[in-house]
Amino acid sequence: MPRENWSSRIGIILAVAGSAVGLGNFLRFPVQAAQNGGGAFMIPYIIALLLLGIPLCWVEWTMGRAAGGRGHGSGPGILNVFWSHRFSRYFGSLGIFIPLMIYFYYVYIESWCLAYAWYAISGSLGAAATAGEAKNFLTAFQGLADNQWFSGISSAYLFFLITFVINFLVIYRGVVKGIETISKIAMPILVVLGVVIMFRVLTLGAPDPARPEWSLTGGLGFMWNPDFSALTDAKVWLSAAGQIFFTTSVGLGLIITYASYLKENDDVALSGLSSISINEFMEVVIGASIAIPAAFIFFGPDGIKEVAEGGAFNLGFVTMPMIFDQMPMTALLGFIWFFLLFLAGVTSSISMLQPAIAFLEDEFGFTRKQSVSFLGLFTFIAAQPAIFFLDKGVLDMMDFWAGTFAIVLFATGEVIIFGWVYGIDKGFDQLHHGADIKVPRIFKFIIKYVTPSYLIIILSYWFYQDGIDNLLLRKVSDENFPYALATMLGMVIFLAGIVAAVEIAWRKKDRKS
Amino acid sequence: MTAGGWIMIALSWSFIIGLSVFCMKRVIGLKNSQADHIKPIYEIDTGDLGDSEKKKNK
Repeated sequence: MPRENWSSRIGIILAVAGSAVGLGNFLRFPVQAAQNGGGAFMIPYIIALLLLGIPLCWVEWTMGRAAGGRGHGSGPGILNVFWSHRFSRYFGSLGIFIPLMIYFYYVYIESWCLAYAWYAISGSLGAAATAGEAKNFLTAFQGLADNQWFSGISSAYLFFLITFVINFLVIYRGVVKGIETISKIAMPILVVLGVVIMFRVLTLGAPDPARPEWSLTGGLGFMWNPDFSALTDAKVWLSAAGQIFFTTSVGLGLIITYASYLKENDDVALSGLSSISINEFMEVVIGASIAIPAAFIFFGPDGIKEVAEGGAFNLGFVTMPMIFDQMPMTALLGFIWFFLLFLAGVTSSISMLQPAIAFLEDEFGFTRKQSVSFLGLFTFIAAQPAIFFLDKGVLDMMDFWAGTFAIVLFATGEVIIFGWVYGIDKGFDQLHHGADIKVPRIFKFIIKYVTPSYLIIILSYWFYQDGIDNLLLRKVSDENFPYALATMLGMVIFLAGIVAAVEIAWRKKDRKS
Repeated sequence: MTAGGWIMIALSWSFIIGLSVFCMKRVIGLKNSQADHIKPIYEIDTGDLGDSEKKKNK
């Protein structure tokens, strides 16, 4: 069965940008910046972008395109093209494991955005006007409490089903008719909705005449006033590097899969940089201008500290509804905000399914119908623990191992295989094949030496700081211990299953050849 | 907002918007056929299945 190719350059740029632009651009980034030195955070952030985000993006685009021409579109096959060794295939299994593990809980969070968009436009969300009420609304919606708004998890489950079906309908239509089409429609809408909300926030001024200091400039100041003393703290630099990882989608196994559907002579240098630039625009320009400045205007200098400390989810699902409640056109603005988050979620979640689809199609010869049916059933079952055991620490465990640690590990392996095993000279030639821009030669040095060193430092620090405790389940309460242990065992079995599938696929190929 | 805040926002936004404009201008302005491609030899000899078969055929 012939592999598909993207029908246009703008199609793949928007698809990769859509994969990268997610909830983190609008919720995680502003909180990270506000907590880590304000404007000074941008110094380690831009440095991490130049030393990690952009080089890794070029590495993944280059590896994906080259391997796609040889019929491989997922981690095991792609890494094996650049290092023909059994270990590279096993290690490449992370390129299927990571996106699926993240999908198991991300799709549920994505469905909250759709639900909140509906509750905003239908007026239900407006009734939760105080912080306590907004929190109660969220916990009842999640099925963790019963109150006047919800009883049980049925509403959340209905929106989960709708979101899940939407994801698989897109994937079923294929790379061009599904992913490329939805990206070409959703991304421009996403930008327009983002600009609308941003414009509304930037024109708020100081709505309360009694408190003129609760103003837009005060909010922007909270977000951007630099605290350069923060730069002496290693945690700030690691937070910036972590944010670059989360936001650019590198190390997830997604970009290499998308790039595998490029043609042999398609450019990767300019396209990769373009997708990163769209993502950064959505994060630094639009994302940073909405939630935190708006929260400052309505909650003041003391309230905003609590909001920032409450974290990204609190900001998105508790604080923002309260803010919209105090603005004219509450229902419409609330709908636009949550639909914006939903669209950002959809373009990200569909990209998490594609590596597994590519693996089944390329290495096992499944048809699209077979691969989508198999993956649909499997992911539906595997997504249930995150829904029904949300308060048992299941999601946190999956997020640390798959959504944080494994990403950096996979990226480290990729860049070492590209720069050292395959060779940076050949790799740089590959990057320039068909290129529409010339990548500065300094990036040869960066990809070979700086990026791997930076990644190893991050990996070691995270493992030292959180990994040992997570591995030994030290931070888990007695009540949640069985759930955490089951989640960990489940992840190990799942990864082992993928490695076994890789071994079977290559043995079949060896027998055929 | 302090002067430092305005400077940080100006520098960050200039960098990001500048990068975006540069990329979009190049992407929209260049058609594939018009691109000034740099084409080194496209050769990956990794010894995987495809290469082995090609070598055998040779």
